[in-house]
Amino acid sequence: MKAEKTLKAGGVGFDTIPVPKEISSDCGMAIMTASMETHRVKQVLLKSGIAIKGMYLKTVTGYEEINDG
Amino acid sequence: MAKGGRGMPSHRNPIYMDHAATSFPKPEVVAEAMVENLREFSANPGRSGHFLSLEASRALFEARETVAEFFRVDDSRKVIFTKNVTEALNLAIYGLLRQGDHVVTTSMEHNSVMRPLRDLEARGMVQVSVVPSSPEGCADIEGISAAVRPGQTRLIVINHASNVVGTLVDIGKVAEVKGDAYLLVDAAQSAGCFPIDLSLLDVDLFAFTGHKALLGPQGTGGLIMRTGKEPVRPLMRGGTGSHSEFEEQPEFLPDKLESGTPNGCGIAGLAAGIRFVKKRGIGLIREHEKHLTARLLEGLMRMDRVHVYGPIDPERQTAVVSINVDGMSPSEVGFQLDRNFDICVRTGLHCAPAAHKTIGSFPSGTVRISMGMTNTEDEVEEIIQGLRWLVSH
Repeated sequence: MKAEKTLKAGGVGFDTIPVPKEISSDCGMAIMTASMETHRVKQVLLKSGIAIKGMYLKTVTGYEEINDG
Repeated sequence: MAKGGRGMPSHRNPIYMDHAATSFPKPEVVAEAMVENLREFSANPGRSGHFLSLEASRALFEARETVAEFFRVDDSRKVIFTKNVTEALNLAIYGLLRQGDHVVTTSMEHNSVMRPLRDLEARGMVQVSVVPSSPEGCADIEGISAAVRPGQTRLIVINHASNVVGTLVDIGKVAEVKGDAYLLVDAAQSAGCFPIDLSLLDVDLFAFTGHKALLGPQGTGGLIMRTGKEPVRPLMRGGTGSHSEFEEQPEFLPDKLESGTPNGCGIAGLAAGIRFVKKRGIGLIREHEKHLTARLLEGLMRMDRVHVYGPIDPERQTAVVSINVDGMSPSEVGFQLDRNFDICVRTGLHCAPAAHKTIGSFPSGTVRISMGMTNTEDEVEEIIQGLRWLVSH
């Protein structure tokens, strides 16, 4: 919810979706964005002190965890 | 506002002076927020991915943020919603205390504090030291300090303002003497009518109710934690909409201490009430209530046969005044005020027997006149006239 609020304020395009079952069986929510926006989303969130639990790239075969710096 | 429920028509509007019990009437925006919540999106927050659930989640989150901002709490996850302040106090007391702990409290506490403590004491789990307050209801800070046993006292529980005589406690001074103990403040009577900035106070656990001066509906309240790392065990465990693959309760806040479907509709009302208080300004509210208290005390002190309890000083109390009339029981006075003058006050022990022992009104209790933001000078005048009539007949 806080991430949503922060991204909206930051003018970043995103959608809020249920966490895909391939990633977690949590009833929680996730932020979905275009792959080119990933870096910007990360910046905006980290700047607001929001801890990111994980980032994944959706491919034809499923979800791959993104491990960048 | 007719007293239709009793089958008796009313010739004028009732004068409500029982704000210490619950605030009435509520601002229109509170009902509006609740109706909107109920009509538009009372789906289960966080449990589903659809639009309605998201809207409910957002509303719940925004309410949490509203509470956090109002009390100057840096992280809204430290705000735990409960159904009332009694639950918040039970959560803190039963959740924190362990076998062999020592607790320090005062003789002005409400049963929502004393009953859990006496229960744990009776079961041999904790030792309780009750530090007597003065007959005016003032906390004995030195006494509290002396009662604290280094290494053994785990918790100090104290009310911010008495529900019987309104006496305010200097929380800062209590925090100075707490040592290694956790400080739990019962803000049932202060939140919403007295300025509170938790970023400046060394309070570990802060319990508040939604339906008194915060102007929300009954069924709301909360416990605020200072760091979020206080080792409070949950009162209830169950579904939290998180970590569902595990059958163990999550360790993170607020989920750890909030299980099951929240009172979304009520919490929406609470948020609207807090926004209303914020807009009016707590400083203005406090000044208004001090002014009414001064007028009331002035009128009461001039009356023979009327005994006034407490500090008798608007600066040192909330807008709560307890009295007795010589030769009449409190319930008789309350009954006459209600039946003849449509004035609503509360009589008896107000769930705080020790407080009445402290001020000298045990066992029959007092007539408690408690005012709020909606009361007026004219209403104060009316109750004074009503009492004048009573004492002369």
